[in-house]
Parts: sequence; structure tokens; C-alpha cells
Amino acid sequence: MWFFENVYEKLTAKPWACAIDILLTALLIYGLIVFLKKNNAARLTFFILAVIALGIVLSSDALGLSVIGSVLRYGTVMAIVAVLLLFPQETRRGLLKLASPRETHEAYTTAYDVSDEQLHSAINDIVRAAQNMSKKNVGALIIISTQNMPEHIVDSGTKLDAVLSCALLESIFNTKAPLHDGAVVVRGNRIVAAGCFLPLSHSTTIDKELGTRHRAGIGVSENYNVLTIIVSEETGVISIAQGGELTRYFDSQMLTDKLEQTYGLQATPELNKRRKRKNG
Amino acid sequence: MENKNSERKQNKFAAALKAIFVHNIGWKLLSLAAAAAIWVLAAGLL
Repeated sequence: MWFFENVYEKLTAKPWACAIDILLTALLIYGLIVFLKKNNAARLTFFILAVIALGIVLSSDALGLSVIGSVLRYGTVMAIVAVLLLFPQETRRGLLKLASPRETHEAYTTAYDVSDEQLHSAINDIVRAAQNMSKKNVGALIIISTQNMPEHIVDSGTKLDAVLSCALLESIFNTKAPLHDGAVVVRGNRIVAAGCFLPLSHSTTIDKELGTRHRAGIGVSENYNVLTIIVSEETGVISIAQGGELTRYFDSQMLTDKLEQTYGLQATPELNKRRKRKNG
Repeated sequence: MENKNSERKQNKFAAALKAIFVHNIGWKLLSLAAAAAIWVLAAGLL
């Protein structure tokens, strides 16, 4: 009975503080769930919540179990630190996001001095090149970079600063071209560099059948605010990596939509009509 | 141009509302329920 009396007393004393307390705790738990879900470890949430609940019960004055109560209370803090240590890449990415919270599409709307039409044209060229390379089973790795693309990645390749075109992209990834073995960095409607080396992802959840190109694509998207387009050399499948997550089997329409979304563009009705006419 | 900007703003607002009230709503409700349960336990016992 004293339990309910305590709850009632606290609820009536400061109802607003209680509501804020519950909401903030819910936010914390939701953040934990999202973090663990992204790393395929959502079940760990229930374990952590159970430990917290058990810690509260066992450390209550009514039971008088001071030692186990303290152990569980500090154990909760230890469990949170352990989770952060278990996923160092994700923790690093989270901290980087805190440092530069702007989303990719927002960066594009302000950072470039090019018209929407030029960006649409660049998108069409990227999509066409990806489709052509996919049909011919030519591997490709294209990074759509934002303002925080590190210089050392650009420096690891060959600087081009050329206007993007379908033919240029296909030429770069031609298996006999010296720059084909690396990534192309695209910014706005320009190819900044080609043949760039990227950090590989160390994630254990990546499908074993995917090669180094996919790992590099995922790795760079884990660490930096970029969108990566990957064309598989073996299967010709077009994939996209963003925020460390890989989505496979993109067709031309899906790729166009994704790029328009990334560039912060709205597809105009005229362009849609033109696209439909082209597709027949 | 102004129409385009206001349309973009509206879309962003709709996307934000969707992100809050539709996306992952099951997990959000579960978090709220878990937080409430933990709060009740803490308020009653500590």
C-alpha cells in the first residue's frame, strides 16, 4: 500500500516534473532502441530495461539489499558504456553527426552555385551511367559528397574538377582505364576526383557475398555525410549506401528519386513527362 | 519561386509530422510504456 501512496504523493506534488521526467526517459529509451536496432541488437534493449527495473527494485530501502542494489545500479551505467564500446564505429558516427547535424539534402541546397536544371542533368547522367555499367557488369563506386568530404580522400585519387557527364563516368570506370579501381567523388554537377581510396567498413552484419567495393562504399558512408552509389561487377546490381546502411536493387526510377531527394530537388512535372516519354 | 519554397516548407513540415507520429510508432509507444513503468517503480520504491 505504501508503494501506491509514494507514487500518488510524487504525482500530486509536481505533476509537470513527472511528465517531463517520463518523456525524457522515453526519449532516452527510444534512442537506445534505434541505436541497437540499427546494429541488429534490438533484443539487448529488453535486457538493459530488465536490468534497470531490477536495479530499482533491489536497491529500494524496503528490501534492504544494499550491496546487490548498488551493484545493479552501477551495472546499468557499465552496461551503457559497454554498448558504446561494442559499437565504436556507430558511436564515432553519432558524435560526428552531433558535430555536423545538417542533413545531406540541406547541404546541397546552399553549397552549390548551379541551377536546378544543371543538377537534374547531372542526376540523369549519373543514372544513365549507372544503368549502362550495370548492363555491362562494370563495377563502379560513385560518392555524392557534401561539404564535409575530407581532403585526404580526394587527395588519395586524381583531381579532375570536370563537368559530370555519362560518357566521362563510363570512361573512368572502364576496366582498362587507369582510374577505374577506386571511387569517383561527385560534388554538385562536377566530378571532383577519381580513383580515390576509401576506408573499409568493419561491420560484421554486411553480407559475405559482397566484395571490397561494397565495403568501401558502406565504410565511407559510415564515417561521412555522403551518399554512395555502388554497381556490382559480378551481378550488375545497383546499390546505395547512406549512413552506413546498404540498400540494394535500385532501378533507374528509384535512383533518380533518391538523387533528387539527396540534392534537395523536387521533380518538375515537365521532367516527369519527358522521363515517361523516354521510357515509352 | 516563392510557391516552390512554400511547397518545400510544407513538404518538410509534413515529413516532420510523419517522422514524429507515424514512423516507428510501435517502438515509440513501447519506449513510453517502459519509461512510465520505470518511473512508477522508482517513485514507489526509492
